[in-house]
Amino acid sequence: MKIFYILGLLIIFFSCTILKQSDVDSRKIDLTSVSQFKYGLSKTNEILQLFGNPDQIIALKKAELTGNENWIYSERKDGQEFERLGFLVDKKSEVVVSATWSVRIGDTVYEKNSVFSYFKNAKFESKKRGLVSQDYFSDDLIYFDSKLGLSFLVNGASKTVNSISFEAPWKN
Amino acid sequence: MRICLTITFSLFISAFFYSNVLAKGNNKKINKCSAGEHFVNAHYRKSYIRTDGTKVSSANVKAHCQLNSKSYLSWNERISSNPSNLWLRKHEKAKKWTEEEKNRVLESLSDLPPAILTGSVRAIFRLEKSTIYDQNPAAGEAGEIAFYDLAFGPKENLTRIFAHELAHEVYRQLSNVEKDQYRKAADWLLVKNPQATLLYELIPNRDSDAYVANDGPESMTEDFSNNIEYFLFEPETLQKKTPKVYNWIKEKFGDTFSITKGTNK
Repeated sequence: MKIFYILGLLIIFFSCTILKQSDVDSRKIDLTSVSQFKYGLSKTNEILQLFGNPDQIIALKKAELTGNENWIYSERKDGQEFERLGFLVDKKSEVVVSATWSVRIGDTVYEKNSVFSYFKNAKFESKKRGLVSQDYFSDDLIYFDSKLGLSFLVNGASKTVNSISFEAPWKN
Repeated sequence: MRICLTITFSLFISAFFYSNVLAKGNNKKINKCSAGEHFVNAHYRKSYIRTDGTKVSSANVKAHCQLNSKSYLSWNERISSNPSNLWLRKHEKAKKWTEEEKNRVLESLSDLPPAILTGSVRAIFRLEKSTIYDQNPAAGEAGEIAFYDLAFGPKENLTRIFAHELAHEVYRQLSNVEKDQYRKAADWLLVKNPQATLLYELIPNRDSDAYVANDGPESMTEDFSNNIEYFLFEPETLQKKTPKVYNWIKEKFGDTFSITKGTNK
């Protein structure tokens, strides 16, 4: 009897693990959905409704950002799991502060011009990332539309898009 | 008295003349080095710290033929006297390389692992002083590295300084996937820091004592360069502070990713 009970528990445990894995396998984090949140206003329940539970929740250690969490959603590509989307969430108010969507080779927005086509309504300005430490100037380019709270990073060397971020509109 | 002064002056002039002629003669005599060697002019070498940390005393180096390291030919031509037009800090004063400095830079390269000697570094040049931070021994921009006076100080390890700057370029050349793998290993979060929105910097999430240098949390490229530098020169410290990064570097660059200790010729 005891053996059956243990076996039952094991079956439930492994099916949960498999289910979790297949979530990541089949999941596609749609960029359009990510762009539809009202960052700084939308609540975490909207994320949960759209994407389900995050694969990981990490509490932020940086002093100025304590009380915030990083909600991570992963995808699988070419047999490898990777973090596709990260939300910054204010734990207390449950407000979604910002999101960063990681770009991979093969994505429609991998090339800079395709981002311009994707976000047709955006009016992007650009700036070099510049001084990122006391001894290094980065030639990565930041494209941003402060009114939309939208920005993306283009690698200086490869000229391809690294990631796209969404946040509340800011004063430029 | 006058005769005495004239004799002294003549002797001084003759000594100066002959020392120059002799030095030139010496240089000329061996200026034909065999294939696979390059000529090093006679020069005074200040004391310095070797790649492996040992101190080398100052000395008069005689003109000689030196065996080319594997990297010599491709890197010698990148040592240029003036910054390129792309260098942003145009107001930083350029300086002429001395024989000693040029030689030491080339020697440093031969002690570094090939994986860090990225071909995308187009130019290495010599500037007087950093205008961003006056304690900088060197600085980098896309594909370019500048060495300041401080890099050649008696207590500086030039190879280590060089490794740090080259690592910035290695990071710049990483693919999105590689940057992402490093980000995870180094506990930088996939979310832009809202407090520095126009810097587009992600958020570092290691404990404050898990960085090998204080400026690590400033940016992922600085953190990466610090970690590469420590992997090569103080691997135990890196392994202790952030073992995940140590393992990532080891896996990414392989077992041969290390400095060639004490081979500074």
